[in-house]
Amino acid sequence: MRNLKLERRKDSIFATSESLPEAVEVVLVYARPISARERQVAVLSAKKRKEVAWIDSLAELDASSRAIAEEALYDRYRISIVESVEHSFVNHGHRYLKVQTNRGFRYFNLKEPGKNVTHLSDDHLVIRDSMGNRYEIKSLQALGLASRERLELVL
Amino acid sequence: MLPSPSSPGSMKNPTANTKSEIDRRYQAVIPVELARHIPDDEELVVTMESDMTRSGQFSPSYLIITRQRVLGLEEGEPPVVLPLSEIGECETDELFGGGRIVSKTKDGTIAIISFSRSFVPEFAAATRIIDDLAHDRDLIYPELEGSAFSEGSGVPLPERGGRSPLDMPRRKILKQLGEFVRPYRARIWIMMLLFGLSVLAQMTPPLLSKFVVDNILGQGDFQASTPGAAKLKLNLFVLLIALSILVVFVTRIVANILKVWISGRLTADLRNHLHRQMQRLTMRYHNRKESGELVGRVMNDTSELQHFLVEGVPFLYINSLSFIGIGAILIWIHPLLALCVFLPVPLLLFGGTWFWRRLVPLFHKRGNRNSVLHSVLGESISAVKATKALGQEDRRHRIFNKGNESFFNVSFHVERTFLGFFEMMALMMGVGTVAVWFFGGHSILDPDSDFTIGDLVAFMFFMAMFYGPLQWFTAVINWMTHAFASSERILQILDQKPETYDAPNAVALPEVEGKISFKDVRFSYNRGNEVIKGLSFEIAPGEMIGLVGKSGAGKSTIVNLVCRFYDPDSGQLTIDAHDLRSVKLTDWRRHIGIVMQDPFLFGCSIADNISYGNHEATFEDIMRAARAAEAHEFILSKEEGYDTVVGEGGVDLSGGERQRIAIARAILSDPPILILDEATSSVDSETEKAIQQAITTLVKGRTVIAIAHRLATLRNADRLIVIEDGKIIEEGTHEKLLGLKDGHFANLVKLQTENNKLLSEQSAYSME
Repeated sequence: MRNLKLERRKDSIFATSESLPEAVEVVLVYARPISARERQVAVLSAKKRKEVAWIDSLAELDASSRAIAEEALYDRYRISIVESVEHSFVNHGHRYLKVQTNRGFRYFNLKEPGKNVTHLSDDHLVIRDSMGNRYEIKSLQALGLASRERLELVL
Repeated sequence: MLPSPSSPGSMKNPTANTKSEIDRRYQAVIPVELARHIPDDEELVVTMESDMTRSGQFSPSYLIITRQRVLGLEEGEPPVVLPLSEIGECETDELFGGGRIVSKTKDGTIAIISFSRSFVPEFAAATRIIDDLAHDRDLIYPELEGSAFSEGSGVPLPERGGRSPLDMPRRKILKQLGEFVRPYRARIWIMMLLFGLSVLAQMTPPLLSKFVVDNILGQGDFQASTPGAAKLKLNLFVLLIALSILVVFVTRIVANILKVWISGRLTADLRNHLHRQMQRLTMRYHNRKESGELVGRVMNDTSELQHFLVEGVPFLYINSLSFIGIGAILIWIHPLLALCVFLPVPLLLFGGTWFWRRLVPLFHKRGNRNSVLHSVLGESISAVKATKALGQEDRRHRIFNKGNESFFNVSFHVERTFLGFFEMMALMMGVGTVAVWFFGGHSILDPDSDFTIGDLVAFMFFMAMFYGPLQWFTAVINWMTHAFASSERILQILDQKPETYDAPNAVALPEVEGKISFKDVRFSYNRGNEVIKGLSFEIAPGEMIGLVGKSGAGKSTIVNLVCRFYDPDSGQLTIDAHDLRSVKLTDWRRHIGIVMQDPFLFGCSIADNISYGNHEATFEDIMRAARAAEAHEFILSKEEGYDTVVGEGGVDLSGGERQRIAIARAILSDPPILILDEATSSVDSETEKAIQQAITTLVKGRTVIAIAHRLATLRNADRLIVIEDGKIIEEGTHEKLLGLKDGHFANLVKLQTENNKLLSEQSAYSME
């Protein structure tokens, strides 16, 4: 989509381009929000969720549009990045984790690790808790031995 | 607990008249420093706490709704304040990482508050309240789904409204299980008595051995002087030993038979209760659960519990008695030597606990990886054709190999840990044995000691009886943990509130005319996403209504509400002027016949499937219904005719055949109200013609609600209702809607006609 420009109005985002002469309220979504963020973004109309534009890479956008896109995508895809595992335990078959993330402390329940832990690689995984909140561990190695051991107990 | 909202600087709370009836989640306590933003003179409707700020940090934030405005408050940030009069539309924006309430105003969209996914239902309900107040509708506090956190301890729950095992002391679980045990009390007492007797009897041979060694075999003089008496005495004691072994045998056999009966009976009772309860739970509950999970609870969890009851409980009981008895005997024989036996015990217990704590997660991991490997293997076999077509055999093998290696690694880890554990246990017990030989042997050699060879022999016997079960003790304790977990999962289902079959003054409905009325009905499956948004329409008795709209518009939801699989969140649904909630549910459902798009056939014969809702029907009635449904001939073409077993484990029928059986079932039940949900959507034209013929027979004289994507099938409907996004956008006869310029229905018909024309042209081209 040529010359796509994004503009913020209050908490909405409007898009214009050569093929969108009139500003359309849009939402931005990743095509692959778990395995490939920061690229391949679909721009959908806010009302009917029809695709009105496609962004291969955010670098294609001008600086202000890119900043708006990054903020909007961050708002939509708030995956917490786990910085350390403070405590973990299994009780009566239920798994509990207390973690420190980039957004603060979280205490959550994990069900069925086989289904709710996505291994993007041997070192990189995404955990979904029993309510659907997601936590990313960018590198198991970087977590440290103590955190890894606590994680091993429940995964 | 809640101070008056009128006192300045206080924490503020809603002031609804029936505060005690309002869910406490609508009445969060607001910190004083934030409460100052709330105007004193405005009535508080909702104060709700969120776990996330607008910037996405996990910190508390608060939603306040008054009669005049909505506020989003968080510490250190300016408040978001929005007068209700400025709100055009308010909705819950469910995002990947959480959600937010957004309001459309003339200046644009404003986000009021953010929250994690743990609070979506709560804030979805709050959104409804804001929207209602903004549009001058009555204030209704929607019933909230169960919380994501335990009420008692705030612990995160595995499922909403569930229970945390951390809040559920074991004694509570035992107490609830005790109710199931009550009918078998007498048998349990007898079993315990018999096991107790067997323990006593088991301790007799070692004691007798001591006597035989000390007083007969070890007494050379006695043997020499009175060989006959010695032999007699020996025979007597050997007989006593044999007798005690026999007593052990008899008591154990009888006790074990009782044990197996009681535990089997108990789990059968639990399974019965579980199954019955599951049949009565609401559709909302069933939607949240996968059928596999529920099957697992009924079969696997009850089996786990049974296994523990059969093996674990008797083990704990018998061996606890043994430890006490043997410990007492050892102390009586030689207190200091007994200490040598007891010394390794704390190490064994501690070591066992430490090991099992590591082993159990490894077992789980092995179980998970085993499941994954099974899954991969299953897929490799079932998808072999697709794999070959795509040339991906090597890739499939690499995936399998990866899973296989992963399973091998964890299995080896488990077995190695297991071996290490048992060898350590054996080593510690060996220390005890060495100590007993050393100190015991020296005691015998000490002329001042009265410790005898017989004592030592008895000691050795008892030591083996003592140490043997000890290494399994901690394993059984861990096993007990799993059994409690299974029990807790079982009790969770039994504690669920079942569907309200009948309100206290439920009205009997022996007959219905068939007048159905929706009055401003609103509904959502997940409490975060309204599917029906203020629907109002009426269906006269005997009228046929067609529901039209694209997928997800809300057509099937309307059907679900009519069948009372769910109750509306607000508004009213009436049948013949009775509120559907006030009518006896079983009466109401008897008056409805449903033909679904993908009808479910039970695992029984075709004849039984047709008469499933009407067991009093004769075979002639069944055949009559089958003929009317245009099903008779294809049934006769089956080798076993009406006796053909279909459904799971039975013969597969085509889509059209299943439809016609479902129609026959509906005809046989002769309901005044009929629902046809995409009854011809997945069949070919010829089959569709047959089904249409059957449907024409079926609908005569009944109130009918029909959903169909193929609009031609609704040609005979008296009226059409076009639904989009949970609202009615057009309503009228076929002709009236076709005549509407740019009408939604007219456009749909045009589109379908063009598609059909294109298909028939293509078909004609390919025939040439």
